[in-house]
Amino acid sequence: MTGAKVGAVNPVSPKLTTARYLGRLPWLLVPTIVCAVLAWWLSPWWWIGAGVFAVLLGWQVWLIPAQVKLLGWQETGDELLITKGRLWHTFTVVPYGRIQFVDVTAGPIERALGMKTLKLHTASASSDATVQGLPADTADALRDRLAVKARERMSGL
Amino acid sequence: MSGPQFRPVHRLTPLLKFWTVILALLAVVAVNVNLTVLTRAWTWLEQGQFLLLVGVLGGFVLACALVWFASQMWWKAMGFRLGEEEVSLRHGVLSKNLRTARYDRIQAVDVVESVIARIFGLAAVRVETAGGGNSVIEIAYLPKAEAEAVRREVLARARTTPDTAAPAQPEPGRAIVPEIPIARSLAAAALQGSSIGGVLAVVAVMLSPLSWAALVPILFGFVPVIWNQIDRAWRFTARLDDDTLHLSYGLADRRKQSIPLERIHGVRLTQPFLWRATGWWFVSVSVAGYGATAGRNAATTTILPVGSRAQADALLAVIAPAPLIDAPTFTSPARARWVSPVDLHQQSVTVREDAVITRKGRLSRRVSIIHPSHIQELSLTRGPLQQLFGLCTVRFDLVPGPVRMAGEDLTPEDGHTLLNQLRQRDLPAYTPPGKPS
Repeated sequence: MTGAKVGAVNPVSPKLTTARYLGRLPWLLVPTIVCAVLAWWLSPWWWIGAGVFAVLLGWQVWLIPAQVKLLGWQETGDELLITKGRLWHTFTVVPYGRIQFVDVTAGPIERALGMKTLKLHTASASSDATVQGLPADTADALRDRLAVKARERMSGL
Repeated sequence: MSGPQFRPVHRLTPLLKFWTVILALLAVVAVNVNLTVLTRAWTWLEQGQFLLLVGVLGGFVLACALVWFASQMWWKAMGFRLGEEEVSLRHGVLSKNLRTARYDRIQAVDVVESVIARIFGLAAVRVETAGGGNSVIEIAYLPKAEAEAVRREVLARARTTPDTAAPAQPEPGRAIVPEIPIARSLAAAALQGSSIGGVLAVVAVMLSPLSWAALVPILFGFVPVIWNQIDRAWRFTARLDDDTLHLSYGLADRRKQSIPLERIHGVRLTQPFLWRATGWWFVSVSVAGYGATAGRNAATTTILPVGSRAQADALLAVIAPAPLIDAPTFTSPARARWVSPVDLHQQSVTVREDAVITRKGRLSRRVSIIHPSHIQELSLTRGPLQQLFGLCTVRFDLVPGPVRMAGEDLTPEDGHTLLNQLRQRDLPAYTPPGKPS
């Protein structure tokens, strides 16, 4: 993506980093600790496992903020633009007229942090038009706007 | 909602639906009626214990009668109705089910003759609607002639104008693909990569010291694939009637299928590597509402299982009037060889006013065509390698089906030009349900 476009999109809530840390890191942190304890307790071979999990942990600690920084959305006259992804960067263009329905969801962690996830459904199965980590009121306002625009510009398949 | 009464299906339907179970039960009985049982029956006969014999036989007859009685109860609960606005199907005794579909939501109507139904001269009518996986109304079973009549009636009602003048000829329209010769379908299946691979695997196992039992999993892997290819191409014909494509094909299950042309979104022409010698092509389409899954009973998305380039072009001319002679608009730069070493010079995108065409494949060729207005969403993606070499891919997100299109490994400038060009496309007008489309 060229720099101009990334600058123009609306970023998502930085709290998404916290949410993803809380959601993903325990799955790596717990095995790291378990392996370390076993290495100290049973045999030093467990340090290999602990090392692998620690590396994965570090990778995720770096990757998640990078992903969140690249997440963004923007409304244009006729389309919703969504950018996301660090390793596999995607820039998706969803014409309002194609929107079949919109989901707004909030998991327990997201709810505690006051965020919601917006998912657009079109007739296509291959795309993933999801915006995670929207502040709750922004998500609801965007949903309402999208509903109106989708109705105004409704198109056939 | 009043309307015409529910019409009954054929009496044998409940039995035929469970014919595998019944066959299994009969097999169990047949296996158990071995010599000992027969000798015991003979001794009873000799000793004059007719009562016992009658009892056993009577029990069998009673069981048959019970099954028949139960099946008749289920049969009475089954029925279908072609109402003013929707087609309904009801079934079930313990839990009653009623499924209805509005005519304007119907995507396709097929007649399916499964093996067991064919023995009794019956057929099922499958009404496909837009929806998730299980969105089919299957009216089973009807005598063949009635099934054809029901299919014609549903098709006629699904169309905007009830064309009463439509002649009820058995083979409507003009033939675009005349019946594919059986020899050609067999040869085409033999020249597929999977067949060659299967034969090579079998030969390798037979030459190796492995036991022949190792053949079983190989055969399990390859035979269904090859069978499927032969089955789908068996005596295939395609006819065009007005704006509907009528297909007829099948070796085990003879099927008739209708695809309204306006539901066809994307077309894909494929030429497997070995078919280049014979000049054959394979044509499949993405149809709105068919979904991605191609189960055994699902409607086919193949509109030409094997045919000459001329036949493929004739089909294309009907569906997407776009000659394939234009020079590509976008191709991959030389540095894309690090990402796509094989396909580099074959992958290309052609953008025209009325069509977007993508090509790919060095060994087997693939050409996909779609009208720009049928592209649902657009995505510009860059994987790790592409980021390293400064490339990007523009993916066209289409309705689920065999056609998948993308402008692969373009320079960022080309990618953005293509994306912005396609963003200017006009979306088709929406036709609300209930209004003629």
